[in-house]
Amino acid sequence: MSWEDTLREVVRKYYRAGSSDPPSWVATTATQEPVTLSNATCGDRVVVYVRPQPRSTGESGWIWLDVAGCAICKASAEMVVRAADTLDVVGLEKLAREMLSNMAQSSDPDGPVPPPTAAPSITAGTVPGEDVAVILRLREVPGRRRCASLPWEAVLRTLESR
Amino acid sequence: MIGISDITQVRSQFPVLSRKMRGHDLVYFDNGATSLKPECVVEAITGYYQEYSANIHRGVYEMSGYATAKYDAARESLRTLINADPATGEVIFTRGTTESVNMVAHGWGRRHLKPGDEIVLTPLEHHSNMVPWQQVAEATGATVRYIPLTPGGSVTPAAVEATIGPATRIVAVSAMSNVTGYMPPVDLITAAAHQVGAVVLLDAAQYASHHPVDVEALGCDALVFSGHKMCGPTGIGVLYATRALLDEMDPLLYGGDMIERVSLEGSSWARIPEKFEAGTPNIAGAIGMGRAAEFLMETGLDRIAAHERDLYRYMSERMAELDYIEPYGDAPPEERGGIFSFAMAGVHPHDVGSLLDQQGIAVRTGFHCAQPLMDHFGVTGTVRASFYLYNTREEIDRFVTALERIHSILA
Repeated sequence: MSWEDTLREVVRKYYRAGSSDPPSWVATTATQEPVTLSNATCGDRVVVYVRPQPRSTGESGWIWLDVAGCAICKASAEMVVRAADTLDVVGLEKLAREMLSNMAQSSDPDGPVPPPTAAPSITAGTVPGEDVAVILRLREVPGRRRCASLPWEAVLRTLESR
Repeated sequence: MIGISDITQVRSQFPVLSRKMRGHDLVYFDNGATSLKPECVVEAITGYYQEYSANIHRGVYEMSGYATAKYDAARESLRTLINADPATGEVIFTRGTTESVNMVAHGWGRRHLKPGDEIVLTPLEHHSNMVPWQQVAEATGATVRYIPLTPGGSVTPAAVEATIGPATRIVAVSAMSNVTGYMPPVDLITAAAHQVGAVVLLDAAQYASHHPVDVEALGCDALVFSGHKMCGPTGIGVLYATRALLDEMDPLLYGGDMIERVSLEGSSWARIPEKFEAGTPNIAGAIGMGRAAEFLMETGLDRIAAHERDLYRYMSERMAELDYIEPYGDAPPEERGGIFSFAMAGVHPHDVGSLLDQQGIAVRTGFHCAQPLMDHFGVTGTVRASFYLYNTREEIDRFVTALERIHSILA
């Protein structure tokens, strides 16, 4: 799949053209102090909101990401939110670590072809593994890697700070 | 002859232009970030490593002497490029524009600035000509003031007059914005600064590689630029400064090669320029940059500037056909270099850049190390197409066609 096809696929499935309205609890509930993370190469920004007492299994919408960024960044953030629908704090933290670890791997473009990206061990129920793999393909595009990793990094930082 | 008449001959000197990118002929519109290198520069660099890679200065054998002579000749080529008279000013080799600015900011600023003094910049500066001054202001108690911009990012004479005053000690401004290509009125700014006794530093990182430069005519006290944006290698640049300014500056780095005498009690410094070039310099880089300067002079910087002006005008005309393109900058074409920065409605600059890449077109996206200017325009980033002597109208046509395709995909 070409990069253009990858982008099309990500956009089709996850891209939110505008900034969607946040869930009501963001404004009405006392939330954990939101964590803000920026992409130093382009100025894009992710703000993470978490309910104070997340979560019992089956409860959705315990985490919210406000994104000012590109299609990849927004799509990656949407994946985080969807994954959180079926994961608790520990599970999402583990998934974020795996995603970031996978995205951090780089290879010499003139060297041997790297092995396929390993799928995260946790299956995020509402995010198909092949979609996760699409995002992980961005490790082959160093200039866009940070776009995809920013939401995961922001989430990990948020959950670690709890 | 004005303009580049034999573009095929020019392009044939740049080996990278013969490569494919993503299966397409490469369109390289990222010259604001770095330029491509002609064969003669590559040969000059490899020539040093293959034929005479000795250290310079105190070697008393033939090969070291030859390397020293080539290094000195490179400095001479740079002097010629900017019309520097060694009796009144000197070319110092640095790692690039950033280091050159830092040399003045720390070498001069920390020694001479004090609370109540003002450093004058513009909001359109590259971070490399803003952050060092902010740091020096913090260290010395001086204040940074900015010449306000018009909404479109230009500088007016009234704004210059209102900002530069009796407390101004140094004015450090870009000769050409790396975002919009706008060229502020540096003659007016220099005159206003000198009227109050302030030092003037011109950041010519974008300007010097595309236009003739005459430091004597400009009357600036310092001028800085990089090798890699002017067909030379990375990791090498120039600080030109008047001897009067250099005499008032401390070195940024201390160590070998920059001393006159060292004893257990202390050290004294070598003459200019060695005083400011501590350690083994980037010899191959300097030789490569010198060859690049010769290449530009052989081609003719007035011709290069005319060629890029034509490309800018053509780009403006073609882009005006696309109603979803918003260009940045309000200055007329005669006040701009070959840089076209824009937004595509509803599409993030990174996504535009990635999809242009798929069609073999290289541009830069993001905030271009100029976040205050992005804040001024109310955006986080732009798409920037920047031209050089080897670019063509046909490439602009391909670019416009590619944008139409991208808009159909994402907007």
